[in-house]
Amino acid sequence: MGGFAIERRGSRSVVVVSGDLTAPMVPSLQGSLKQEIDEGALDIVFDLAATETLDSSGIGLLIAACNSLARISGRISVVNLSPPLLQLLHSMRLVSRLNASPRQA
Amino acid sequence: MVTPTPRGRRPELRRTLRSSLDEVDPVCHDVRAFLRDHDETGAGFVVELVARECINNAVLHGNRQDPAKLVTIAVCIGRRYFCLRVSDQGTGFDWRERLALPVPGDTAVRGRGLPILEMYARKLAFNQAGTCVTVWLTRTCGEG
Repeated sequence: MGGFAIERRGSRSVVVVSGDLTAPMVPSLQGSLKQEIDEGALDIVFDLAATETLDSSGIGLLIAACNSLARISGRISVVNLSPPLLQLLHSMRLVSRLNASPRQA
Repeated sequence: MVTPTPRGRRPELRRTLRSSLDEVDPVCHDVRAFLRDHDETGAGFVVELVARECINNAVLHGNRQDPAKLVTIAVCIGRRYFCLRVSDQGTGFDWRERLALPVPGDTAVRGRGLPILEMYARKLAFNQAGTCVTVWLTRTCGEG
Protein backbone atom coordinates (compact mmCIF):
# COMPACT_ATOMS: atom_id res chain seq x y z
CA MET A 1 0.00 0.00 0.00
CA GLY A 2 1.20 3.60 -0.41
CA GLY A 3 0.67 6.87 -2.14
CA PHE A 4 2.49 9.71 -3.77
CA ALA A 5 3.01 13.45 -3.51
CA ILE A 6 3.96 15.78 -6.34
CA GLU A 7 6.07 18.89 -5.78
CA ARG A 8 6.20 21.37 -8.63
CA ARG A 9 8.94 23.92 -9.17
CA GLY A 10 8.59 25.69 -12.50
CA SER A 11 8.76 23.11 -15.26
CA ARG A 12 10.12 20.42 -12.92
CA SER A 13 7.87 18.07 -11.00
CA VAL A 14 9.17 15.72 -8.33
CA VAL A 15 6.96 12.69 -7.68
CA VAL A 16 7.75 11.30 -4.24
CA VAL A 17 6.37 7.77 -4.03
CA SER A 18 5.69 6.32 -0.59
CA GLY A 19 5.21 2.57 -0.85
CA ASP A 20 4.97 0.14 -3.73
CA LEU A 21 4.88 1.45 -7.30
CA THR A 22 2.64 -1.36 -8.49
CA ALA A 23 -0.58 -2.03 -10.37
CA PRO A 24 -3.01 -0.70 -7.71
CA MET A 25 -1.26 2.71 -7.66
CA VAL A 26 -0.92 3.10 -11.43
CA PRO A 27 -4.38 4.47 -12.36
CA SER A 28 -4.30 7.40 -9.91
CA LEU A 29 -0.65 8.23 -10.55
CA GLN A 30 -1.21 8.07 -14.29
CA GLY A 31 -3.95 10.68 -14.05
CA SER A 32 -1.80 12.98 -11.95
CA LEU A 33 1.14 12.67 -14.32
CA LYS A 34 -1.04 13.56 -17.27
CA GLN A 35 -2.16 16.66 -15.44
CA GLU A 36 1.44 17.64 -14.66
CA ILE A 37 2.44 17.34 -18.30
CA ASP A 38 -0.69 19.17 -19.48
CA GLU A 39 0.23 21.99 -17.09
CA GLY A 40 3.72 22.35 -18.52
CA ALA A 41 6.03 19.92 -16.69
CA LEU A 42 9.04 19.10 -18.85
CA ASP A 43 11.27 17.46 -16.24
CA ILE A 44 9.72 14.76 -14.04
CA VAL A 45 11.74 13.15 -11.28
CA PHE A 46 10.43 10.00 -9.60
CA ASP A 47 11.91 9.71 -6.12
CA LEU A 48 11.66 6.05 -5.08
CA ALA A 49 13.60 6.35 -1.81
CA ALA A 50 10.65 4.84 0.07
CA THR A 51 9.76 2.22 -2.56
CA GLU A 52 10.74 -1.41 -2.17
CA THR A 53 8.56 -2.98 -4.87
CA LEU A 54 8.18 -2.08 -8.55
CA ASP A 55 6.20 -4.41 -10.81
CA SER A 56 5.67 -4.52 -14.57
CA SER A 57 2.69 -2.15 -14.29
CA GLY A 58 4.81 0.39 -12.43
CA ILE A 59 7.57 0.01 -15.01
CA GLY A 60 4.98 0.52 -17.74
CA LEU A 61 3.85 3.74 -16.08
CA LEU A 62 7.44 5.05 -15.99
CA ILE A 63 7.92 4.16 -19.66
CA ALA A 64 4.63 5.82 -20.62
CA ALA A 65 5.70 9.00 -18.80
CA CYS A 66 9.05 8.82 -20.55
CA ASN A 67 7.38 8.44 -23.94
CA SER A 68 5.04 11.39 -23.30
CA LEU A 69 7.89 13.64 -22.19
CA ALA A 70 10.10 12.63 -25.10
CA ARG A 71 7.42 13.85 -27.52
CA ILE A 72 7.72 17.37 -26.06
CA SER A 73 11.52 17.27 -25.58
CA GLY A 74 11.08 16.64 -21.88
CA ARG A 75 12.97 14.32 -19.55
CA ILE A 76 12.34 11.72 -16.89
CA SER A 77 14.61 10.47 -14.16
CA VAL A 78 14.09 7.78 -11.52
CA VAL A 79 16.22 8.33 -8.44
CA ASN A 80 17.05 6.74 -5.10
CA LEU A 81 16.49 3.18 -6.26
CA SER A 82 17.20 0.31 -3.90
CA PRO A 83 19.77 -2.23 -5.16
CA PRO A 84 17.14 -4.85 -6.14
CA LEU A 85 15.09 -2.25 -8.06
CA LEU A 86 18.14 -0.91 -9.86
CA GLN A 87 19.11 -4.47 -10.75
CA LEU A 88 15.58 -5.11 -12.05
CA LEU A 89 15.75 -2.06 -14.34
CA HIS A 90 19.24 -3.04 -15.40
CA SER A 91 18.03 -6.51 -16.36
CA MET A 92 15.17 -4.92 -18.32
CA ARG A 93 17.70 -2.66 -20.08
CA LEU A 94 15.88 0.44 -18.88
CA VAL A 95 18.49 2.20 -16.72
CA SER A 96 19.59 4.54 -19.46
CA ARG A 97 16.10 5.24 -20.84
CA LEU A 98 14.76 6.12 -17.40
CA ASN A 99 17.92 7.90 -16.21
CA ALA A 100 17.83 5.61 -13.20
CA SER A 101 20.19 6.10 -10.28
CA PRO A 102 20.78 4.40 -6.92
CA ARG A 103 20.09 5.55 -3.39
CA GLN A 104 22.78 7.71 -1.96
CA ALA A 105 24.71 6.10 0.90
CA MET B 1 3.20 -16.68 15.68
CA VAL B 2 4.52 -19.39 13.38
CA THR B 3 2.99 -22.82 13.82
CA PRO B 4 5.82 -25.36 13.77
CA THR B 5 5.81 -27.33 10.53
CA PRO B 6 5.27 -31.04 11.07
CA ARG B 7 8.44 -32.97 10.43
CA GLY B 8 8.80 -33.82 6.76
CA ARG B 9 6.14 -31.36 5.58
CA ARG B 10 7.28 -28.34 3.61
CA PRO B 11 6.12 -24.93 4.81
CA GLU B 12 3.32 -23.67 2.60
CA LEU B 13 1.22 -20.53 2.35
CA ARG B 14 -2.16 -20.61 0.58
CA ARG B 15 -4.39 -17.66 -0.19
CA THR B 16 -7.52 -17.06 -2.26
CA LEU B 17 -8.48 -13.59 -3.46
CA ARG B 18 -11.18 -12.00 -5.54
CA SER B 19 -10.21 -10.56 -8.89
CA SER B 20 -9.60 -7.02 -7.73
CA LEU B 21 -6.31 -5.14 -7.66
CA ASP B 22 -7.28 -3.95 -4.18
CA GLU B 23 -6.74 -7.48 -2.91
CA VAL B 24 -3.27 -7.98 -4.41
CA ASP B 25 -1.18 -5.98 -1.93
CA PRO B 26 -2.38 -7.77 1.23
CA VAL B 27 -1.64 -11.17 -0.32
CA CYS B 28 1.83 -10.08 -1.45
CA HIS B 29 2.55 -8.74 2.01
CA ASP B 30 1.50 -12.11 3.42
CA VAL B 31 4.02 -13.77 1.09
CA ARG B 32 6.76 -11.50 2.46
CA ALA B 33 5.72 -12.22 6.04
CA PHE B 34 5.65 -15.97 5.33
CA LEU B 35 9.22 -15.84 4.07
CA ARG B 36 10.29 -13.69 7.01
CA ASP B 37 8.72 -16.14 9.46
CA HIS B 38 10.80 -18.93 7.89
CA ASP B 39 14.08 -16.96 7.87
CA GLU B 40 14.01 -16.41 4.12
CA THR B 41 14.04 -12.61 4.18
CA GLY B 42 16.83 -12.45 1.60
CA ALA B 43 14.56 -13.90 -1.07
CA GLY B 44 11.65 -11.63 -0.20
CA PHE B 45 12.06 -9.18 -3.07
CA VAL B 46 12.24 -11.80 -5.81
CA VAL B 47 9.57 -14.13 -4.46
CA GLU B 48 7.14 -11.30 -3.80
CA LEU B 49 7.74 -9.76 -7.22
CA VAL B 50 7.18 -13.08 -8.99
CA ALA B 51 4.07 -13.73 -6.91
CA ARG B 52 2.79 -10.24 -7.67
CA GLU B 53 3.31 -10.60 -11.43
CA CYS B 54 1.51 -13.97 -11.44
CA ILE B 55 -1.38 -12.62 -9.37
CA ASN B 56 -1.67 -9.45 -11.44
CA ASN B 57 -1.84 -11.53 -14.63
CA ALA B 58 -4.50 -13.78 -13.13
CA VAL B 59 -6.60 -10.83 -11.90
CA LEU B 60 -6.23 -8.58 -14.94
CA HIS B 61 -5.92 -10.97 -17.86
CA GLY B 62 -7.10 -14.33 -16.60
CA ASN B 63 -10.24 -13.32 -14.73
CA ARG B 64 -10.53 -9.85 -16.35
CA GLN B 65 -11.27 -8.36 -12.92
CA ASP B 66 -14.55 -10.26 -12.73
CA PRO B 67 -15.51 -10.01 -9.05
CA ALA B 68 -17.24 -13.39 -9.28
CA LYS B 69 -13.99 -15.15 -10.16
CA LEU B 70 -11.24 -16.13 -7.77
CA VAL B 71 -7.46 -16.36 -7.87
CA THR B 72 -5.59 -18.86 -5.73
CA ILE B 73 -1.92 -18.81 -4.81
CA ALA B 74 0.25 -21.35 -3.03
CA VAL B 75 3.86 -20.68 -2.01
CA CYS B 76 5.97 -23.58 -0.80
CA ILE B 77 9.49 -23.63 0.60
CA GLY B 78 11.26 -26.73 -0.67
CA ARG B 79 14.73 -28.05 -0.03
CA ARG B 80 16.27 -26.32 -3.07
CA TYR B 81 13.49 -24.18 -4.47
CA PHE B 82 10.63 -21.90 -3.66
CA CYS B 83 7.59 -23.06 -5.60
CA LEU B 84 4.74 -20.68 -6.45
CA ARG B 85 1.51 -21.75 -8.10
CA VAL B 86 -1.20 -19.29 -9.15
CA SER B 87 -4.52 -20.29 -10.70
CA ASP B 88 -7.41 -18.28 -12.13
CA GLN B 89 -10.93 -19.12 -13.30
CA GLY B 90 -10.65 -17.56 -16.72
CA THR B 91 -10.64 -19.08 -20.19
CA GLY B 92 -6.87 -19.28 -20.47
CA PHE B 93 -4.47 -17.98 -23.09
CA ASP B 94 -1.94 -19.19 -25.63
CA TRP B 95 1.11 -19.13 -23.36
CA ARG B 96 3.32 -20.77 -25.97
CA GLU B 97 2.71 -17.86 -28.31
CA ARG B 98 3.30 -15.28 -25.58
CA LEU B 99 6.54 -16.87 -24.40
CA ALA B 100 7.81 -16.84 -27.98
CA LEU B 101 7.47 -13.06 -28.25
CA PRO B 102 10.67 -10.99 -28.00
CA VAL B 103 11.37 -8.95 -24.87
CA PRO B 104 9.63 -5.55 -25.26
CA GLY B 105 11.76 -2.63 -26.41
CA ASP B 106 12.48 0.34 -24.17
CA THR B 107 9.46 2.31 -25.39
CA ALA B 108 6.95 -0.50 -24.86
CA VAL B 109 4.49 0.17 -22.07
CA ARG B 110 3.17 -3.39 -21.80
CA GLY B 111 4.35 -6.94 -22.03
CA ARG B 112 6.98 -7.15 -19.28
CA GLY B 113 5.15 -9.45 -16.88
CA LEU B 114 6.16 -12.75 -18.47
CA PRO B 115 9.73 -11.58 -19.20
CA ILE B 116 10.12 -10.75 -15.50
CA LEU B 117 8.98 -14.27 -14.58
CA GLU B 118 11.38 -15.80 -17.08
CA MET B 119 14.21 -13.62 -15.81
CA TYR B 120 13.99 -14.80 -12.22
CA ALA B 121 12.55 -18.32 -12.59
CA ARG B 122 14.64 -21.47 -12.54
CA LYS B 123 11.65 -23.13 -14.22
CA LEU B 124 8.27 -21.92 -15.42
CA ALA B 125 5.32 -24.14 -16.35
CA PHE B 126 1.72 -23.56 -17.46
CA ASN B 127 -1.15 -25.98 -17.60
CA GLN B 128 -2.54 -26.72 -21.04
CA ALA B 129 -5.20 -24.00 -20.93
CA GLY B 130 -2.98 -21.33 -19.42
CA THR B 131 -5.10 -20.87 -16.29
CA CYS B 132 -2.41 -22.09 -13.90
CA VAL B 133 1.25 -21.13 -13.70
CA THR B 134 3.92 -22.77 -11.55
CA VAL B 135 7.23 -21.02 -10.94
CA TRP B 136 10.31 -22.50 -9.29
CA LEU B 137 12.85 -20.07 -7.82
CA THR B 138 16.17 -21.18 -6.37
CA ARG B 139 16.52 -20.71 -2.62
CA THR B 140 19.47 -18.41 -3.41
CA CYS B 141 17.45 -16.17 -5.76
CA GLY B 142 17.79 -13.16 -3.49
CA GLU B 143 21.57 -13.21 -3.49
CA GLY B 144 23.34 -10.72 -5.73
